[in-house]
Amino acid sequence: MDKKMDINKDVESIPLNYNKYVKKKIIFILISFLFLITIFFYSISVGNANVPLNDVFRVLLGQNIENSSTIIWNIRLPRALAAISAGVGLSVSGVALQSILRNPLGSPYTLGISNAAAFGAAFSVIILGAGSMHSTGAGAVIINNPYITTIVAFLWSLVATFMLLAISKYKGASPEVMILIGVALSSLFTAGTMFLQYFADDVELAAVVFWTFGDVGRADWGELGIITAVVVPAMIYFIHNRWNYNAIDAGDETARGLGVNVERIRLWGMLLASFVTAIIISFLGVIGFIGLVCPHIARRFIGDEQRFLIPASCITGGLLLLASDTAARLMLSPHVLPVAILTSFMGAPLFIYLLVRGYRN
Amino acid sequence: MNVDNLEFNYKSGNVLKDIGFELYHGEILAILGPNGVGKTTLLRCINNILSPKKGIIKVEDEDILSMKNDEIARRLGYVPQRSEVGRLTAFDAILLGRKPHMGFHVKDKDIGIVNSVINKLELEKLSLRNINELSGGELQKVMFARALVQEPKVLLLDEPTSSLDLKNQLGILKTVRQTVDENQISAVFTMHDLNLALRFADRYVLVKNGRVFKHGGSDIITPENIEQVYEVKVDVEYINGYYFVIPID
Repeated sequence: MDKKMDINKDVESIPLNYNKYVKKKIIFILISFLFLITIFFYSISVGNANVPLNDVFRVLLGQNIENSSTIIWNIRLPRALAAISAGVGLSVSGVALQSILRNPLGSPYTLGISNAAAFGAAFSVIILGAGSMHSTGAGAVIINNPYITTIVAFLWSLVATFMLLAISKYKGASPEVMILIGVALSSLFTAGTMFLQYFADDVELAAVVFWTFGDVGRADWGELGIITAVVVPAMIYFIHNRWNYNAIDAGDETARGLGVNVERIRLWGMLLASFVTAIIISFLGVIGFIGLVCPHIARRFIGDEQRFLIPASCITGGLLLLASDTAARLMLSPHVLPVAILTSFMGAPLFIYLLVRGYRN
Repeated sequence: MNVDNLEFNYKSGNVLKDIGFELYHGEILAILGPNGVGKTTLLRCINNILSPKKGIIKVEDEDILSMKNDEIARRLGYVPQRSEVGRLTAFDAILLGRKPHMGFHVKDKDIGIVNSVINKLELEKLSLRNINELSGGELQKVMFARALVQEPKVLLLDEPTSSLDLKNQLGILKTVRQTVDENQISAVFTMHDLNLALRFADRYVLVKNGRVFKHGGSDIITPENIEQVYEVKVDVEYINGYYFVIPID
C-alpha cells in the first residue's frame, strides 16, 4: 500500500522538463508531417501543365475537371504516392537496419540488396531478353515485358538477402561482419552486372542503364498498391518493436538482460527490411541514399530514441523522396529526371556534411 | 536465491562445473577469481543469457531456467561490463529498464518508477543529458538505475567498478549496498579488487578452474585460499574495521 502511494506521488512529480522534451519531439514529427502534406499537394499541382491548388482539392474530392482529372488521377497522384510510399519504406528499412546491425552504415544499399536487384534487371534484359522498362515520365525506352524484369530483379535481391541471412544465422556473424559481407555482395553483384553489360548490345545496354536510374514515375496504381501493401505492415512491425531496437542499441548483452531475443529480432528485422527494399527497387529501380541518409537526418533532430526516431525517419524518407521527385520534374522541365539521380546529388553532400559535423565534437 | 550444480560448456570445452551457492535477502555476493576463470560466464548463466547445460537456479523458490525471457528480466537485473552508448537522454536510457514490464505504451507508472529511482540515486541533474556526454561514473550510475527500474529480486553486476576512479568506485558500491538493504533484495557482483569486495560483500565465492573453490563469509578470504586461487602470496590484515588483502613478495 505504501509503495503504491509512493508511485502516485512520483507520477505527479514527473519532471516537467521530461514532458517538455517529449512534447518537443512530437511537435517536430507533426511539423514534418504537415510539411509532407504541403509538398504532396504542391507536387500534384505543379508540372508541365500547372493545375491550380483549388482544382487539385476539387479533383481529389471527386469532382471531374477536364484534363486536370486525368493528369491528377493517372499521373501525378500515383507518382506522388509512390514517392511517399517508397521513401517511407526505404527509410524505415534503413533505420531498422542501422539499429539491428548497430552500425550507422546500415541501409538496404550498403547490404548489397540494391546492387543485386540491378544485377537481376540486367540479367532479365540481357539474358532473358525481357527488353526494356517503362516510365510514365519518359517514353524513350520501349516495354517488352516489364514484369519479367521486376520479378527477376526481385528474385535476385532475395538471393542477396538470403545469402546474408544464412551467413548470419548459421555462422553467427557479428553485425560488423554482416556489413562487410554486404559490401562484398555489393561488389560481387556490381561485377556481375558489368560482366553482362560487356556482352550486351546498344539497346539492351540502354535498357539496363535506364533501369538502374530509380524513378517513382514507373508505378501505376496496381504497383503502388503492392508497394504500399508491403510498406505499411513493415512500418507497423518496426514501430511495434521500437523498444526491442532501443534495447539492442544499448548492446546485445543489455538487450538479452532485458529479455529481448536478440537473434530473432535481428533476423526478422533484416528479412523484413530486405523484403521491403527488394519490392520497392524491383518496381521503381535503384534509389540510393534515402535509406541511409533519412534516418540520419531524423537522428540530428530527434536523437537515437527509437520511439520517436522510427516515425520521424518514415516522414523524413517520404518527404525527401517526394521533394526530390518534385524537383526532378521541375528542374529541366519539360524533361523529367529520374529521381535517383537527384537523391544521390542531394544525399551525398548532405551526408558528408552530417558526418563532418558529427565527428567534430 | 539458490544456485545448484550449475554446469556450462562452450563449444571449445568445459568452462563451469558443479557451481553452487546460496544467497539471502539483503545480502551481497562477490564472485572472485583470476581473469578468464569464468566469472562473467557464470553471471550470464544465472540469468540464462547463456543456457547452462545443467543445474538449477532458483529465485524465491521459482525456477529461473524454465521461465520466458521477460519473466527472467523481471526478477534479475543485469548490468554488463560494457554498454553501447547512443544519443539518448539518461531518462530514456533508464526507462528502457521498464521494458520487461511494459506493454505497447509507456505508462505513467513506468515514468513514476524511473523518476523515483532517479531521485534516489540523485541523478536529477543529468536526467535530460545525453548519455554519450556523461562521465564514466555517471554512466555506471545510469546503467545501475536501469537495472533498478526492472524492480529485480536479484541484481547481477559484472565488474561494476572497473574503469571508475576511487570516489566513484565507493559511490556506486555504497549505492548498491543501500539499495540491497532498503529493498531487501540481493546482489551478485564479480570483482577484481579484493579489498573493495571485502568492504561491501557479505558472502564470497572463490572460483578456480571453473569450479567453486570456496564459498562462504569473509572468513574464507585467508592467505592460504587466496594463494591457491590467485597464485599470489598475501597477508590479510584488519585495519579500521575492514579486512585488507595485501600482497607480499
